[in-house]
Amino acid sequence: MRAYLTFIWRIWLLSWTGNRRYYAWMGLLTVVAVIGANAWAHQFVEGLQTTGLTNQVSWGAYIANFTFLVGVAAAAVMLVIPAYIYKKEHMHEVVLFGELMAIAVIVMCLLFVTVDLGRPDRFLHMIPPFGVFNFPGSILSWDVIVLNGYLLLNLHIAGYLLYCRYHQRKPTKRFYIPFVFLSIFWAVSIHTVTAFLYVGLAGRPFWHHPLVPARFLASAFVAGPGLMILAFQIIRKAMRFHIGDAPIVTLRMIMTVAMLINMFLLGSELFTEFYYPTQHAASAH
Amino acid sequence: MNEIPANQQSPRTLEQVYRPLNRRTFLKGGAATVAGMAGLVAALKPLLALEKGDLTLDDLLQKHYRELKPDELQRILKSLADKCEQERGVRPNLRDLKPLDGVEFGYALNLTRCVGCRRCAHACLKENNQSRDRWDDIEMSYIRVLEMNKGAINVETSNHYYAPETVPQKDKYYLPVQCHQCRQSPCTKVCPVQATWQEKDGVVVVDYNWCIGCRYCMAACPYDARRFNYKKPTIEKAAINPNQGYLSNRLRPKGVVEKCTFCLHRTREGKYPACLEVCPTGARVFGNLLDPDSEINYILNNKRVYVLKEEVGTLPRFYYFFDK
Repeated sequence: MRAYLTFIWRIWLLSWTGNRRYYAWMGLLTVVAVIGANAWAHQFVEGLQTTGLTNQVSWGAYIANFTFLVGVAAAAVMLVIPAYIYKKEHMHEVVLFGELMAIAVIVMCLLFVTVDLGRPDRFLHMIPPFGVFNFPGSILSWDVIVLNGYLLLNLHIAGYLLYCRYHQRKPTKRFYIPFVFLSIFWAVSIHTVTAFLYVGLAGRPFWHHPLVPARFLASAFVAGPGLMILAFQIIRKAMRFHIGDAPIVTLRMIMTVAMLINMFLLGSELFTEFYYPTQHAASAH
Repeated sequence: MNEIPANQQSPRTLEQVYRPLNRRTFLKGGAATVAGMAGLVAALKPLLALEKGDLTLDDLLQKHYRELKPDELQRILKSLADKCEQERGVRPNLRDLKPLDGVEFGYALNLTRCVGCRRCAHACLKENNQSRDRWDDIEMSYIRVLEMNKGAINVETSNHYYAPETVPQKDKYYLPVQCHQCRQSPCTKVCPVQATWQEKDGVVVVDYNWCIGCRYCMAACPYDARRFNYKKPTIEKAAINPNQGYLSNRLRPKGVVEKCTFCLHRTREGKYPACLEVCPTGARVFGNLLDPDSEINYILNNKRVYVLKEEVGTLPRFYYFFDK
């Protein structure tokens, strides 16, 4: 335990060292985060009117970003599946990046939901035993569970693997492989549950549609690996960590297949809405 | 990650990786930390503008309405009344009215008679203490009167911003919409913290002291019946209705959802809702669905009645009917 805390402490120290470009980048991110904190402080005092949302448009960029980032987190599974199920050696070099990205993105998801709350001071109401948790009735309560669960799974897997590497020893399979397989199902579940958040609303015809979860997953499996490829290119150029072409080629193939499925689903939706001019698509015509 | 990857070109010792902490790096790191913290403090400075009483320990620790013991509820009612008096200068008669036995409320609206004058929407504001910047700002009213085109019953082609000189306009008819107090209410189903629920008499209520403001219920409602306090409600002292109920028209805090409660602080005492009393054409009928001799049951049994968006399966307690 003590050794693990030392490990965490050393990671923390390590995050303060780097070259000039690293400091510039981290400084820029800090400035952005501080500006965001300032905006949120205004919002907390003055209410959500600062967002420009109204009774007619009651959800906006916060919820859109949250949904998008859940997709990016779920897409980490596209590095995990080739590495662990198909045992592609070259993916093992980079799979950790996927898991780390999932952690970062889930944290952002949770923050986006928190800043969207009108009463963030009452967040304890969602957490048993302090609050009254409407489970399993509310899909939002399911989302709380799957997102936090996915965060813990990835924290464990990535933490354990990095810890083993730090000690330069081989990871023990039974300590992480079961969690890796669980995380594969869990990754699909986070985006499915997030889609159900919308699909479950019968009063919104545009969302109340069985294709939504499938499209969420298909588009996430295009966008997520796409983002990973960009990240890998930057890592290759800017860091000493070497990433070969093989993982990028694998991701490219995954993107191609997912994009074909996504386009097919999009085509089906467009046909349904536009072939016969129903009122539900009236504004789009 | 089964094996240590081969691509670590130059394995370095831990000491090499963590540059030894010397005076220079310590000062640099310290300066960066101080700058960062100062930035954060400056960024959070607007929080100082929070008004006294906006965040109190009592609020944070308050339990869900349905878990409150009678004495706890009385204490909360008193502190809410005190707060209203302090902040708004009006001492409200704030009570908690329970649903009556043997009563289930129902509402019917005569579309043949409605002329679209919006008096109901204004009366709702006066009765329920909603936020408004001017007397005629009915954005937060629980009633939206939709101007419908003849030949259409679909609300998607309706307009609730209509403003002609006189109503009714030729080739239009008017459809006032408010909370339908659904038997299968999507809003209560989706609330993650059960801050909204159906009472025994069918009224769907919100505990403004429990709502976390996620607005999922607004997304779920097919009737646009819910309003959100995007700011601390603004209301003139003279406009405040002091006859208040905990679950209905008491002054709301910012950041919570509110909605029509069939004026439960009136109807649970045997009065009619404010929107019914003000209607100049007598288009509104309210009563007890469990009483076979009530006017509402006469309407349901004898008129051509329908419900809005029947296909969504909400089973409303709000009905529309035609006279002739």
